[in-house]
Amino acid sequence: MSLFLSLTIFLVLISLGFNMNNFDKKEPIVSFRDVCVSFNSTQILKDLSFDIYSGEIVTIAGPSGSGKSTILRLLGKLIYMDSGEININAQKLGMSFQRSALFNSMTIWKNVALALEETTNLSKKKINKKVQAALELVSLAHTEKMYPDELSGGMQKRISIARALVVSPEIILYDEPSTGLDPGTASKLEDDMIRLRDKTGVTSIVVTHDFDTIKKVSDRVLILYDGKIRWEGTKNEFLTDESPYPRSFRERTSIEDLLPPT
Amino acid sequence: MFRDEIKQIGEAGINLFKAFWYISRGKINWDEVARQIVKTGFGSLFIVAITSSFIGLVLSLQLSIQLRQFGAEHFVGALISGTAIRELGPIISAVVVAGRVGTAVAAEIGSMRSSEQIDALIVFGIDPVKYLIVPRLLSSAIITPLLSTVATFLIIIAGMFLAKISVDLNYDVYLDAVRVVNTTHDVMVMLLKACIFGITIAIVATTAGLQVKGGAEAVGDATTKTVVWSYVLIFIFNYFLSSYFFRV
Repeated sequence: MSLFLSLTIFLVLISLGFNMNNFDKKEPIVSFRDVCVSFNSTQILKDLSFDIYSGEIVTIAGPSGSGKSTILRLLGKLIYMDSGEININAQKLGMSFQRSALFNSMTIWKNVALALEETTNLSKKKINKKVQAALELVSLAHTEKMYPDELSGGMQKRISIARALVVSPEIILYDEPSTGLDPGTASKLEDDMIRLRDKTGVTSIVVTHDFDTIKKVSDRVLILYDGKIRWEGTKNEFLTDESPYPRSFRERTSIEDLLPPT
Repeated sequence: MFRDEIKQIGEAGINLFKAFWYISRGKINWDEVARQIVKTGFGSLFIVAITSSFIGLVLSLQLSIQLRQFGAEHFVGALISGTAIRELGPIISAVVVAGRVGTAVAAEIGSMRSSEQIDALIVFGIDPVKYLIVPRLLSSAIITPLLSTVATFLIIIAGMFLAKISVDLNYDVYLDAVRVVNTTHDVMVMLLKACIFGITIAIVATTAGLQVKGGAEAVGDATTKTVVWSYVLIFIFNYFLSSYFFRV
């Protein structure tokens, strides 16, 4: 009996050990390996490699022109890479665009429902239910009969998030979410982003150069400079590390000014 | 040197092929087709009516003066109707559609491109060819023959009234000549030509719109490109279609 019990405990411990091992080495939901992209002979991304894990909010920060949006456009299959490897372990992906990209001729309901109407065979009733749920997630259910022009910039961005969420994506991409918004509206939008992740578990990839957004929403920060990830760390590390890359954001100065002369 | 032009022709060809593929599989949003017809067709009707009526008047005026010198004014109806059905009707309607509808489509899709709406469609798995090009192609292929019919009718009628005023040509004589010279084949070719012109305009306009890179200036360039290329292609296609269908 004691032999059987010892054997059982041994097996349980081994299996736990396996699980812990697997937990430590969990598969990334997005993986970039040596990705290169160039436009008109200018190299934008240079052998870019990084991993993003399920359920986290990762901010890709960097100065304008560093290639941040190019990463989102690669993930959205809007452009193609020259070389390298991108693995996405997700079926569905949503994207909130910098300029909202809502269709002005359609009502808010139609804007949010469009992807479901065009790419699924769901009944109108089911689509309506999903649209209502998505609009409620961004607290804008009352706008369904309105047109984008009738909403403020901040509300349009939140509708853009609802449109991305309606397809129940595993990954949501935010392109400069706080750009063009006043601090109060931007803060509300950032609250929405955190709440959505907490409620749905969606992996969020945020591209921004806004320090307040990085500070508020990020679990992890990747700093992109000159086509490569130059710094990577948790939010706390980002707020305390003395490396020139996170410091440039905290001190609101350009990275060039803090880098040692070459 | 011609890299961009070759690229545009290639993209237009791919868009046309994909659009026909969707149409052949019945993947057509008929509500959107109807919306496009109403939006673009009715607005063009007035312009087609005015331009074709005045072309009918001036054609009749010139032909009446010239033919009267030979005592052949009773051929005015035959010449006007033959030219209107075989050439002028489709050409006038296509020119109006290219100028009014083609430019509007290029500007609309170009603006959608520059405001990331096309990118949004692609990310959500919606093919812009299916969602934007197919309804516009079908509506253009439907309204251009309809406008061509209106244009042809008005050229003939306007010509008939002016022939009566300028050379006192009897309506019956005029209409008899119209009946004798033209056949059902001519009318079918008119409709076919107009349909081909409509498809050409839609593909040129939507491709120019989808290729927009940048802001307002690029949208303006797309509309200019649409008019220029549509006119060039319409006149070239018109010659080859006429020479194929109306051989001596």
